[in-house]
Amino acid sequence: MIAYEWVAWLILLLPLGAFLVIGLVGRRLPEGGGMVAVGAMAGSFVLSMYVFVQVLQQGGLGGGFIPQTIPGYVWIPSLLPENSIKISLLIDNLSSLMLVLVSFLCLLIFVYSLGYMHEDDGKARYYAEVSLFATGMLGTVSADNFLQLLIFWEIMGLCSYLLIGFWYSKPEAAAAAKKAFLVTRVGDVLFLVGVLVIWNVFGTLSFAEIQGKMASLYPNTLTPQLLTLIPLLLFGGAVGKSAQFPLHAWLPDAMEGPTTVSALIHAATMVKAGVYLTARAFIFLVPISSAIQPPFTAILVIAAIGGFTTLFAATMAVVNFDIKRVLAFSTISQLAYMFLGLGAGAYTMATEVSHGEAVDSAGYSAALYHLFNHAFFKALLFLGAGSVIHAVHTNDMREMGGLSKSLPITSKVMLFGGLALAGIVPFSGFFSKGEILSVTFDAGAANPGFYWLWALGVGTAFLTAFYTFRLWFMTFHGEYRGHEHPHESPRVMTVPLIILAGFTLASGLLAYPMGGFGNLIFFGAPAAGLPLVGIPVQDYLLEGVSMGVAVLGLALAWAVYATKRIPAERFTASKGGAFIHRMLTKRYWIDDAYDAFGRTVVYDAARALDWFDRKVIDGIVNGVGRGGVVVASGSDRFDRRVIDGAVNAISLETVRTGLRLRQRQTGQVQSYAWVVVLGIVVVIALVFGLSFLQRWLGGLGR
Amino acid sequence: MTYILSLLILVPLLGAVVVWVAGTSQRLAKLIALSFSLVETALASFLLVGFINPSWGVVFGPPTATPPPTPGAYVPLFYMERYTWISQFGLNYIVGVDGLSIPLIWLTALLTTLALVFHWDEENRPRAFFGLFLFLEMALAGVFMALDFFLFAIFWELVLLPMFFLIGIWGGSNRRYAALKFLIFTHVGFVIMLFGIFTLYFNSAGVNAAVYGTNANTLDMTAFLHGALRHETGGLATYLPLALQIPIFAVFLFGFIVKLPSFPFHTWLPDAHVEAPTGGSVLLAGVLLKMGGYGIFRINMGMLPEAMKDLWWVLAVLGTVSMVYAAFVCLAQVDLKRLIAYSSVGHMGFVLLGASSLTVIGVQGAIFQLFNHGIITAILFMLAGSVKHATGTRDIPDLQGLAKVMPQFSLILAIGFFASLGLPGLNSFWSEFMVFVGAYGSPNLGEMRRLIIIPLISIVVTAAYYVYTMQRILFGDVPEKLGHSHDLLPWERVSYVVLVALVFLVGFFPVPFLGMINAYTSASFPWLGGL
Repeated sequence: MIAYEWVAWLILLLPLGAFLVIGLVGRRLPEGGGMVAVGAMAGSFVLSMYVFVQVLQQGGLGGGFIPQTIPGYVWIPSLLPENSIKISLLIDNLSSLMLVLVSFLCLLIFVYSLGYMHEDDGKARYYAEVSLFATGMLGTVSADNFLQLLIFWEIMGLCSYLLIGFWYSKPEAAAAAKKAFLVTRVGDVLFLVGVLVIWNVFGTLSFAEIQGKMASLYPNTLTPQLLTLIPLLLFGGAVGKSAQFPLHAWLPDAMEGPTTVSALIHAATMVKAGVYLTARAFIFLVPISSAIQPPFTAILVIAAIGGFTTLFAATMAVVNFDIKRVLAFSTISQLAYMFLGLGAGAYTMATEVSHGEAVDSAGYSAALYHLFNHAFFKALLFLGAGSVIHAVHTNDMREMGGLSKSLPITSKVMLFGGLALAGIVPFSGFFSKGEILSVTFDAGAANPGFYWLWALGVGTAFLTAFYTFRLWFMTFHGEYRGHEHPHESPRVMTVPLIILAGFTLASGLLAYPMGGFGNLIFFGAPAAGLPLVGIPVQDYLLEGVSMGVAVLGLALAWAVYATKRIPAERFTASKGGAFIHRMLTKRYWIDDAYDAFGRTVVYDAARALDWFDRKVIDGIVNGVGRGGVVVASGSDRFDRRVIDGAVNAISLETVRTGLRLRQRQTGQVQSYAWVVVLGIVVVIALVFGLSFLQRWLGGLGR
Repeated sequence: MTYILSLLILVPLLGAVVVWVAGTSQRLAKLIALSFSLVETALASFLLVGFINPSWGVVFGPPTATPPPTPGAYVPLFYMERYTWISQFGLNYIVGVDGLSIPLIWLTALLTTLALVFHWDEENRPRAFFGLFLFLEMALAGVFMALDFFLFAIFWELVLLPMFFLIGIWGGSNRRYAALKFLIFTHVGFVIMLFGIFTLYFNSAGVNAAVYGTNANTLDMTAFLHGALRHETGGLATYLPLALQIPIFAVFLFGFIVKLPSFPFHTWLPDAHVEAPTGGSVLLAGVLLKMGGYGIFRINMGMLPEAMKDLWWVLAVLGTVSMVYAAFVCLAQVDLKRLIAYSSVGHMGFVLLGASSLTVIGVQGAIFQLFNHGIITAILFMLAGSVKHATGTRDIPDLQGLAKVMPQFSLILAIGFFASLGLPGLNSFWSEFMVFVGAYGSPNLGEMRRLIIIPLISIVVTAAYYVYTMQRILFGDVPEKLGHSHDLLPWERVSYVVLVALVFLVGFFPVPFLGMINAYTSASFPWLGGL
């Protein structure tokens, strides 16, 4: 039990309050309300730590903590109380750790923003939107059910849209915001369908209740097809949010937003929500008993998308010259690692469950471990890039170079971040990425396809080290190629960088006192020992391989971009090389294809339907109207010549009356108005009069 | 106090008369109109809170339902008034409300008031203008509470007249065409509906005898409501046979989908909106369209359940086509107001889809959608009015970078658009979500439930046209000619603040409204399926 349950609510409400305050009066506050945002976030962080410490004290390590639901209020009432949809918080190991992670990173990045956004006129808007974002992310990771998760997920999507388009007068920013919103919307619809299906099958959306009902509903209500469909639909949402193939196209463009936004939303937190959702979807992927056939197809799709996207995105990072876009492709690639880890882990677990063996959630832990580590080092890399951009006023790495002299702190912390991203021991990326790759390799025993995915992952490890150090060397090594006078960022920006740099080492090593990350974050039973503690020999071998290729990649980057012993032109000069280079810079033409699809297929369909509406449907309407007029004028002529002619012959007086009446027909609509109103009054009076008359007559009769 | 409903009809009627008689100056006319409208809103609000929580119904007493004289199940209708009008023809003055009509009556009062406030600077024939609004308010309130077919028909027709003149006199350049089109379309719908009323009347003696113990034809709607409920729950053996219900169902449905409107009878709507003055559009989309939805629940579902169970697929198809079709057509629109008009067609498609699901949650979602759409579309039409006022144009290609020069407008526009595209946490998310839950879980569908993906396409396209529009009109650099556009006017701000507050309030705390709707559906349609 968490003492003082309302504390958990306060974690969400503090940034929400900051959003309201800054939104209403932010312009009048110092730093556009930046201090309010930082203060609220600091409060959230302290409270998150408080909750997390309680979880640990109550046996969080080793699985002693019983997940707890903190009730809120009812959203949709239902005939049956147990079917009503409520907002409630879930506190378990994963969510309490996520709360700490998110609030800590938000806090650091808000502080950094005080320096980075100092000059911007839209500060108040910025702090309001990031505070709302923090509410959304904290709500996402503490949601107790899928609908609540979806709601906070969409709040994040809204903030992402607003913050990508923060500098909205730039057409590129406006276009990127639109693209981000629409592409993720496709995923969101799949997620929404998933929620519909879950609701229809289980009659509840809460994680715990779903898991409890699973066994009784299988296989009649919860057919094997549905069990495959549900996690795939949820994963569809994750693909959109976490920018996986084929919905990856929005993330590189999202770099049009401020760099702090890229660091916070598009690297450290929001894009992780897809991984978090997939982790929560483990209740569908890994059944609780061998009586349920696990949805292997769904698991394979998740792993395959992860394995493919990781290499796919890494290749595009290699050719980009925009320092932030390189990191964006890298984010896609690293997120894909997490999906690969989740998929491989789920496959192994599901296989073990169906054989009735002891279950080991190594893949689950490894993927979330990578999520945890990546949040720190990728936030660091983005903030470092922000510090560089702040100094040289460009994103183009061709106009950088030699900045390690003018930006000593930035260059060192980015080196730390780069080593962590590349996966060099003892930086954090090494442990988690290595763990994911070993889990993938191990899953090969159950399904040989995973050996291929492992190969993709190892190839990516090579490319990751290569593009990371390509970035670092192009930025910090050699001679400065730009025309600015770069100087180091202020303390308010460098201190968060140094703290994050410390975490590139610490976040990996923190697993040691925990007795392995798997001792804290696990699915089913705790898996003490991974990583670092009690790793089997074969895993040392596998992790050696992944680090070996990383070192090779680093060496190649050194040779190409630092010493220039192997010039890059040698590759691009050859015919095949030029084609590959073009293909990669054009991002495999996928963005172009999407644009063309939107412009031609969707928009043309819209225009065709608009034409149909105006010409065909309205044409019919107007045709019927005109037909009516023809009939009417025909009968009018008949009326005037034949009937009226006869009448006229009988009475001249009628004609005179008619002439007088015609004067009233002035053709003015408003005079008709009075006539009509008068008519209504007469009708009402008549009806009432009749009823009184009738009552009076009735009274007489009696 | 059982005369509250008559008061709700009389206050705006009296207001209209007073404005016509005494509103000699613009100032006087609008002040009189506003005060009557505020009184009406206050009365409607007392009624509303009494429904949300009976213990809050202190002003008019807690709502109590009036049962029919015969024992058995009955549809609870509250604050009923019943006076005999002309007994020889079976004409009665019967009014009553329930969880279906209360939100709509409140919406009518609220939107009328806000529309009046929005038109605070109307100089063109203010007396007639403000008077017509009150007259319209009276007629709309009457439609939603009339429980006698004759009364219902009178109010239904009375609604057309003020709207016809609002479009025809204060409208844009093509106003005569639009006003006439509006009038003819909805009037034809009404005339066809009359056949249904007549058929019901001539077959009502049996039902009337079973419910009220009078073996005579009647136009009393409650007789059919109670009768249908008893028939569905097994308390009444003979009710209108299916073969009779189907043609009646069809003619009523025609009248209602013209009003709603649904594809393919929707083309009057964009024209009417483009020409109508802002306040006219607000009431047209905010409340007039809801008459169609109201009719479907009150008459098609409430009185003809057998036909509804037989012909649900008609509603499902019409709703789905409207949703997808309108979303695509919106994407191609140039005039902002036309775009919003088409978006209404799409959002009313949700109502048909929800009703067709015949599930508790789907029907609740559809009724809730009526209310939510009223709030949101009022904001959107006001925005179209504001932008026209500020920049002189509503054409999307001529507008650009308004976020810089009109920040308040831009904020409201973003909120309105996101609410309309169903952003979770805002009000229409709940209704749309519930409609989808209902439609997917509909017991009618069986294996066909995977077709739910077709209406879901409209969600993406809806997001696309709103986000694309925002990109074009709010973002980018400000062109020279828009550089001096003024932001929202003070009285406009009042209207927006109230509506935006409702968007958030209902979004975060939907329970007061859903509870009311839940009580209505569970008492009136216990035969609905689903969870």
